[in-house]
Amino acid sequence: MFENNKTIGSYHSDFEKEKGLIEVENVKCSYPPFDQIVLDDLSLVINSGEFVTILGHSGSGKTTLLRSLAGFEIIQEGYIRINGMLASTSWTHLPPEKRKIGFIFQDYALFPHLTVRQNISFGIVGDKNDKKKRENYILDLIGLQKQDNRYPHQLSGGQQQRVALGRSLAPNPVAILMDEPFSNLDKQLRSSLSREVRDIIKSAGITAILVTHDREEAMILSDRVGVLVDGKLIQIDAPEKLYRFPVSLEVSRMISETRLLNGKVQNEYIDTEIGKISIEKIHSSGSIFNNGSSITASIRPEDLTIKKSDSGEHGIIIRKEFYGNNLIYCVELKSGTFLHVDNFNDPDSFKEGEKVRLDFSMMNPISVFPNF
Amino acid sequence: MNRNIDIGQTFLSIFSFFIILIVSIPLIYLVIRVVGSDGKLLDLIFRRRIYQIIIRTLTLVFSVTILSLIIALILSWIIERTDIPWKKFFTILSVLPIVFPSYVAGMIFVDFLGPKGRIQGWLEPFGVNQLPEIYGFWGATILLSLLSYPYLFLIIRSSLNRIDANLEEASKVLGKNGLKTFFLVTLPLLRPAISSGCILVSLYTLSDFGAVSLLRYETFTWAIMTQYESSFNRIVAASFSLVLIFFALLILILDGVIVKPKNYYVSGISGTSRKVKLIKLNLLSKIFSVFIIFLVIFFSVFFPFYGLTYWFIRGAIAGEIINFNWILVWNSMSVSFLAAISCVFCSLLISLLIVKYNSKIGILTEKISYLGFGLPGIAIALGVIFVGLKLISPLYQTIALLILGYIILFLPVTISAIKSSMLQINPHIEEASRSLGFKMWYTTLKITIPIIISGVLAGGILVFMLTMKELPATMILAPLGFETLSTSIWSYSSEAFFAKSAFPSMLLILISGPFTAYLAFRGYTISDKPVKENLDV
Repeated sequence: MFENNKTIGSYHSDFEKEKGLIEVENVKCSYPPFDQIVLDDLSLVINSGEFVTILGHSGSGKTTLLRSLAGFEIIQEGYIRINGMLASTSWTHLPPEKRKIGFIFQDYALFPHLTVRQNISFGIVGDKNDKKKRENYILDLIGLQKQDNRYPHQLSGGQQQRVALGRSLAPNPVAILMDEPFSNLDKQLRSSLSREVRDIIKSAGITAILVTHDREEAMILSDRVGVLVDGKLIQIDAPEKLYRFPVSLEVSRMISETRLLNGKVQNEYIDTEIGKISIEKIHSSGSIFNNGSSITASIRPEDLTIKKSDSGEHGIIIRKEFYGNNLIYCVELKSGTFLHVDNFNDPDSFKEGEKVRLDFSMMNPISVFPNF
Repeated sequence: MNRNIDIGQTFLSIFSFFIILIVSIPLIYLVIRVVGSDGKLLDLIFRRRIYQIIIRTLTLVFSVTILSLIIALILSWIIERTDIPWKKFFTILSVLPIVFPSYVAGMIFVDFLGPKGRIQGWLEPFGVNQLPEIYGFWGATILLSLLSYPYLFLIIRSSLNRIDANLEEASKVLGKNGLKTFFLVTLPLLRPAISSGCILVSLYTLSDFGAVSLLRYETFTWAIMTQYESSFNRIVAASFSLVLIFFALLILILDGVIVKPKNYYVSGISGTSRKVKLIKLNLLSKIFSVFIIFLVIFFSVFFPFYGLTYWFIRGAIAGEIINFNWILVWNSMSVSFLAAISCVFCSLLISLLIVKYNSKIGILTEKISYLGFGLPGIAIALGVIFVGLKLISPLYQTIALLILGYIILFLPVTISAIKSSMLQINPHIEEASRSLGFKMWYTTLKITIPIIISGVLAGGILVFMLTMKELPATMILAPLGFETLSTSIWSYSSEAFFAKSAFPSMLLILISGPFTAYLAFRGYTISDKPVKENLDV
């Protein structure tokens, strides 16, 4: 709880040090009937112009985080500050209409009784001329000048999405929040449109926060990705960094197709069923392993190579999946563990049921986590 | 093509054609009689008095529609959008006025608020010797609004519930406060619901006979009845009816113009359907909101029940229950039962023709039958009586003619219920059953009938209750000396024998009330007219 002497002003002086456009500190949010905790002591700073994605499974609290930023949900502890202005605390709550935040809903929530132009115009304030100018600018930005008199139901899913983006950009918001904005689109449209949306947002120079459960979307679009599990932000980093150096097994599994392999620390090596990994070639998030302690390694398809085995095979190929740019073999080890191997470049083709040996390719450090 | 099917379709088509005749001949005959009477007809229609009646009727229709819209909007918004307590309770009470026939409510209204009425009596010690006049325009407006706002309330409430919660939030996040959001987003989205509800209320007001007569406000229905009862002048009644029909048709056409072209569609596909965040009221506004609801309910529900109970007890002490003529109940129930059975029977055949054969004549029959609920009962009854007098004179002054009138009035109710339940039968279901080796009759017994039975029951019960309550057509079409609950309540209450009419009123409400309320909540059809669900918000 807050002490009496901490006023809004004193927070403002704290803010001077951090200079985040959106600051979330120690926020706790729970829902009334059973006080089920949705956001648990969550802190996050988002800088001006950044594109940040919050990645989480359904029920992880990602939508609630976005809705508390927009002012739709009330928080029980901590504070949210937007552009230096105190927006949510346990004792004050700035209503959504005063936050100057853009919000894109999962179902777009376009006003069905208004045309494209009227939808875009809805949030703009100013005299007729300014309004018209802004409307035209936005219509141009989203490429729907010709459809400005259509109603939302006359548009395709992708066009509706762009109107939603235009409508939220129109009042020149401080930042724009997107709640799974691409989940209603089919796969091909999703990837092309998501890039287009990112380009529009970047060219408008606006700060954006997107929540999604789609790891590819998160990795491709964002400057930084935050992984949210059970209301806790476990790690937030640039996509490459997140991929190479996950701080926990959960993060590793959230951001990549990975399989788990048990091992034991022995002197300078980690001993696993399919061979040894040098301690220098692993990444472990700061934990020091004692000799003999058991660990779990996160093994991705590209971490392994596959070989025909004349003797001493590691396992049997039980499935072969061709994706065009990848060829994944699913191998069942003797212990019953399954590993995935990417072997697109190898001209040797393997059959299902074939006995094979596996090796570490050592392209990337392998993430290793202690067993509890 | 199978020969059997052809025979079936031919039979059904002939039957449908017959129904079209039954529904349309009284109207056509009304026109022929009026036009063909003599040259003085135009004088008759266009003399000055009729303008007064037109203006009076239209002002009443307009003001009742506006007032009930305001009541319904306020109540449904408070109940659906704020965090007041006891919502279920308030919702049920808000719909309850639907169970009162207007002639029963009118009687109680006069009893309470009339000159030397009950309320004036309560206020006498405080020196109130006179209350504002209730006879005439204001009394009729207030009474009819209190009786008809539930129709609008039900439609608006369900529409409010279906508005995507995100739309109102989207408006807020774009900088519009609660009030602006209501006028810029919520109200426009409610427009289809509001216009079809207003159509319903205006038709209800246009065809109401009981309330306007008891409150002595001369509209078409009352004028028609007085002209009809002074029997030498039936042609005037007929021409008044034509003008009334003209206005009803005008409203129905307006319905098509206003409501249909602008159907709204759901934006986006699904999204997580989130409940709308309720507005948190502070204690004072909470108390104020609850007070408003109480105020409406006090007049629309508490008054009628209190008054009825009071007179019921007074009557019981005076021996009205012992002396009650139970034949009235038998009469009412038997004609209502016959009306319900006939409507269900006709509707089954017509729906079959529409759904199974997708026949044009079937669809035409359905469309024409809808005149029945749009047009005032009194006008239709007048047409039927002319036909009975001239074309089918053996039926004149028989129960059969009365039932015929009921069929014309209430057929659309059963058609819409039964047709929609038949449409639920996916043809593949029947085929699946037959592919699993079951014979046609077994399939019908096990699959088809169970699916449509709920529609048949709902439609039948609704017609039964509507017939029980129906007044003007019953007064005109019932054979001499044939009295029903509704006609006897009317004759007692129009002469202010409150104690005598309380018991039959109580019976009527007890028999029809629970089902009316139940069906209203299920959203199947509401009281007099089927609900039109052409809102896709």
